[in-house]
Amino acid sequence: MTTEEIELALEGGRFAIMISIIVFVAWAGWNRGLLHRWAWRFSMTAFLLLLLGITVDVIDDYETTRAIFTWHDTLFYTFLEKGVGYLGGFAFMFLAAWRWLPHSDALKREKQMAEAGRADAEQQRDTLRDQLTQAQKMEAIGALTGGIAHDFNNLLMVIDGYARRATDNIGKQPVVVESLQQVLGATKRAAALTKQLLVFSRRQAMEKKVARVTDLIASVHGLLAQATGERINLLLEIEDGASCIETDNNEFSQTLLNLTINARDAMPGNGTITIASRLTKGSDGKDDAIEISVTDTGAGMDEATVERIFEPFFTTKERGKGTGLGLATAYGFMQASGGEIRVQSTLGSGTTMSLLFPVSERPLVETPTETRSTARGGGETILLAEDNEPVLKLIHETLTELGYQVLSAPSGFEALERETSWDGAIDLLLTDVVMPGLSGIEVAQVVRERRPNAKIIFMSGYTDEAKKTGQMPCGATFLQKPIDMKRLAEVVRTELDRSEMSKAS
Amino acid sequence: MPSVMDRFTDFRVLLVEDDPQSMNLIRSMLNDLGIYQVHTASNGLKAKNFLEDEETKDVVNVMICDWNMPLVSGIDLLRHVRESKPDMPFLIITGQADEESVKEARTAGVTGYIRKPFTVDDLRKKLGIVQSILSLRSPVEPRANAG
Repeated sequence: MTTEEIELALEGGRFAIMISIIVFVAWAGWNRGLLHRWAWRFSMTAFLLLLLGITVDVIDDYETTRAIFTWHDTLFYTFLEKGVGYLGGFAFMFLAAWRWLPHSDALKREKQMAEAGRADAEQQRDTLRDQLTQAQKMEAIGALTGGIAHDFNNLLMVIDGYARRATDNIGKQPVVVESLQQVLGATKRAAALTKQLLVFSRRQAMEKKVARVTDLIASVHGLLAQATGERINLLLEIEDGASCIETDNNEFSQTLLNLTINARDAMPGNGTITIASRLTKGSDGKDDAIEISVTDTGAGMDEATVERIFEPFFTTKERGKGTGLGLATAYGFMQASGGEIRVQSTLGSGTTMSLLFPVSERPLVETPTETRSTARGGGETILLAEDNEPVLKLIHETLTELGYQVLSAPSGFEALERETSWDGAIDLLLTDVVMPGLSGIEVAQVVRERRPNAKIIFMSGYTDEAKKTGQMPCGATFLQKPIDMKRLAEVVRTELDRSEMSKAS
Repeated sequence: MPSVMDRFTDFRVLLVEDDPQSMNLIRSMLNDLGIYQVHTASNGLKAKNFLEDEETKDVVNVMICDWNMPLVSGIDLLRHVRESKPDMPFLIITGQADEESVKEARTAGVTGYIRKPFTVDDLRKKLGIVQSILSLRSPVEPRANAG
């Protein structure tokens, strides 16, 4: 290699170095602040190449340079000599940069994505804040409506009870009878309203009964078929239908109907809804549970929707078509039932909503279809505890009229005092659950200890407190307020008869 | 059947009564029933202090309190006690059968009433119920002479 040749190569080298500096500076400036993983690697590579070029340039000593290049032998030498190597190198770098570095379009996209991400995050934050506010609002509304409905129930019971007594005793005075019937009608409607309020506030006491799964589904099947209409196939796949669960019949029907209507609405055209039941395991994986599921072949839901479906007021239906309370109530109902609700959905292929109930160990009590026409007393003694005095008075008078001996007390302690000083038998304890001082549950426990044969009926407008203590004696009957006096008479009679049956056996 | 002495030995009573003579009478009645752990306070404030003092606040498990007392009445004390000890049996001694006041006390969470004048026998009945409640609420608490 001659000196001229080296000179030539170095000239080429200088030119290449200059170009590479310009490219690097331009590129580095362009990508400022975006030293991407790859950008960083390439910039380092470019920088090292430049350093090499500059070194070669600075040395400026043919002998040394030649020594270096000779030493490095052919590859590097040829690379320098031809200059083509430089071009190839830069072409490679350029292409690599083009392939790997965020050039302007990608940069724009990235910026947009970052902005979108930020907007998403902000929106999510707002949504969460809204949800929290919503949850707190729901809690407050729940507490308020629950409280009002509870007190209102007591008033309704008094109005209803006295209006009934008046109707029974008024004789033939059409105007008065009719007026009183209007009062009774209005009370009934008001009671339905408070029941709704209590469902909404989830403070309503459930009247749990042991029931067979088949019976439960059969009782609501007609209603479901009516709701789904003709264009949709309604299939039943009942396994282990003989197993029993404990639930409130009405609430159960309402929940299943809600799920079915949702399934129907998810299928605007034709489709199939399958209602299935099978034995499975609960969430703890140990206890047996009955899964009752409603499966549709509809549009399905994306993950974001699935996550929110149990939120109150969340609805995918058009404004005015859904309240967004259906699944929230179903969720509350399942929690109150000691079970859980699950959802499994795939976009495009449908949704399965499952209700998991713990299997009941309690025996099934067949309720007689015919209630006694005269649910009258036969001199049995009833211990009555109720802190609301008008209600106490009403129940006392009603039961006395029916022929029972009633020991009534306005508090738990006083009920126990009456019990202590009563020498005769006590056949039944009828007590309010929530009373200041001593609760109905405690009264029941003391009475049960002292008089194991006494039957127990609890009355309450709501059972939050009762549930919290978790001490509701098993096997006790529960009456939801407002209590219709006729129903009270029937329940008292049934309970007392049950006690005689168990004594006889 | 356990004797009276057996039944009430778990009782640790705070008796609040402003009239010294009544206080002595009630205390001796309690002693007759086998209750010897009787702490006394001659007014509501002293009772409050007793219940708030770190050393003595968990000493008693039953309260018997007169209704009519100066400064802090029985019902005031009841409300105060209910804030920190919602489950403590609280018997209030009433002189007059004023229905309104009785209702007020019931709402405030009184356990039971002892109407003046009362005999040892009345007291035994009331405390018998309190005993049931106590054993219900703390079934693990060892009962002296239970066997």
